[in-house]
Amino acid sequence: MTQLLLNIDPSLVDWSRAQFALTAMFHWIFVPITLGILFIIAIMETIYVKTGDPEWKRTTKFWMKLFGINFAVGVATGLILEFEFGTNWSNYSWFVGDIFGAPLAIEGIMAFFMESTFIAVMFFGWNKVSKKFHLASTWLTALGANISALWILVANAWMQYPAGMEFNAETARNEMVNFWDVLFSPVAINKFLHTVTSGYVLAALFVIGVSSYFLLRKREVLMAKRSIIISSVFGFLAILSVIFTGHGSAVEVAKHQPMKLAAMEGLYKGGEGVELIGFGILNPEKTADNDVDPFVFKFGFKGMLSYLISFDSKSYVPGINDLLKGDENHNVISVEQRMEKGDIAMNALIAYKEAKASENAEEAAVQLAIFKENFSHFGYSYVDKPVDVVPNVPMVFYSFHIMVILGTLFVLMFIIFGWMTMKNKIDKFKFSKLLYYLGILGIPLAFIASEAGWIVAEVGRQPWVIQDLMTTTAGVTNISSSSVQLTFWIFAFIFTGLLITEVSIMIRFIKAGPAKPENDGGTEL
Amino acid sequence: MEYTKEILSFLAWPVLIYVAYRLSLVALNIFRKNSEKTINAK
Repeated sequence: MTQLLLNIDPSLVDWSRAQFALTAMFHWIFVPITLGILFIIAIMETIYVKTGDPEWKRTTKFWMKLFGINFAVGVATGLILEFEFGTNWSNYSWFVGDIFGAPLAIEGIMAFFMESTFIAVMFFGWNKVSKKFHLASTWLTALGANISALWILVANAWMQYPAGMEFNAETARNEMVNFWDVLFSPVAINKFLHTVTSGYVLAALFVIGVSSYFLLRKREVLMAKRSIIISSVFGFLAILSVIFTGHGSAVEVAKHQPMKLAAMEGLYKGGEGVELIGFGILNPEKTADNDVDPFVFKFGFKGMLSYLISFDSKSYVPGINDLLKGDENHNVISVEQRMEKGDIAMNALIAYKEAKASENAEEAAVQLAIFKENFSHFGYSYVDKPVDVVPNVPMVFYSFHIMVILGTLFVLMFIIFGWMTMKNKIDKFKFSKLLYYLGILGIPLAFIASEAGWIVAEVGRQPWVIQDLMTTTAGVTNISSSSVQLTFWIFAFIFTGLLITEVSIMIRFIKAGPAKPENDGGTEL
Repeated sequence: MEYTKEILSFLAWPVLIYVAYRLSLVALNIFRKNSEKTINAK
């Protein structure tokens, strides 16, 4: 089968991956703020409607303005991302369009329309519609944005764990047979909750960061403190969800993508009672082919990885080498064996098609049975050599640990900021300024953690575009590498321009602060 | 039911938003009381 892929230029795959990664990472700069800040705004507006306090209206409108700037650029990058499925990954789209297309279509029709409809009322409906209708629009915009994320994340989860489908040998396409298996796959639910709540954490840190700026400048003190309180509570609950669903995701990764888990932990030789690495420095000399120690330095927690994925500190976790070479004692099939089974599946599919063409029903039935028996290894027929199924270990390992370490820092930040502000001591103690700078620093750190999470998820599953079924090389559109390279640089240039524009507009608006108070009357909360 | 665990996990999402709203109100009330104490002390 690898013969079929020989006419694909390897640099084309790299450039296509780079282009998709570039678009996705830029898109993910804007999306998490949108997902989280909308709920923070909705909570603020609810308090405004309940109390009638005009200060809450000012606060709501200020954060809404920042959201609006962010939202426009987010949509622009998101649209390009969806087109890239067709332009750069047409083989993949053809192979799975019958499944992948459904969640994407629902995202567009249901969620995105809902979001776009109510966003207009949210921005332009102040003083034009009733307070309650406006509030409902804000909540529905928040809900629409998050449900929109649900569908795209369901689609992504399906690529990590293809469920609810059957391969149609006639058309050589995967078809959905159970929508609920796709929607409620444990990977999809964990991914959705983990991703959106990580967006809430980022948005909460964004609000804390901007509010810290105001406190540092001794401006808009009441708005800043109230905003810190709401975002600390929201962020703290969200990060608890991130931790819980992150654990759930790791359990699913251990079941369906054990190579990714091994890469996340830099685990080359598995076993029973495997330690969890707190942090470590990987040995750059280490590869799957040599016996060099994988770490220059590390500290870990004995038996913890085994415990976390199965609640048994002595359970077995396979390492990269166990997965490559197989481990009969623990029913781990070697990659070489899987490649053989993949070739059997591929040859059976070709023989099936030939038998059907020559109207040999008996032979077709035999070949179809062989194909189905080996289908779970189908993607391995695209693999050239076993070591190709190992992802970039340092990138996955460091991204994972940076994400976890920063996540721990964020828990502390939410507690400290929330507690100090609630007690009204944030601007009255010795290290206030230091805390404000930490709050501002929290913004870039949140983005680093968030992007690192996606690197773990997406680089960690390489070389698969669909786990065990299709490699990235097989999914790419066979166009000239230079055209992808050219558009990569065009996108890089445009996206960087958009980012600079967005950040500068945001800074300008933040410096200007909220609008002057309107006198609506009401009570203070 | 086949998807009970997943549906319950999914429902935790709106619950989280609601709890965040309720706890925000509690925290804001504590903040208001502490602010009043500070003003009175002055």
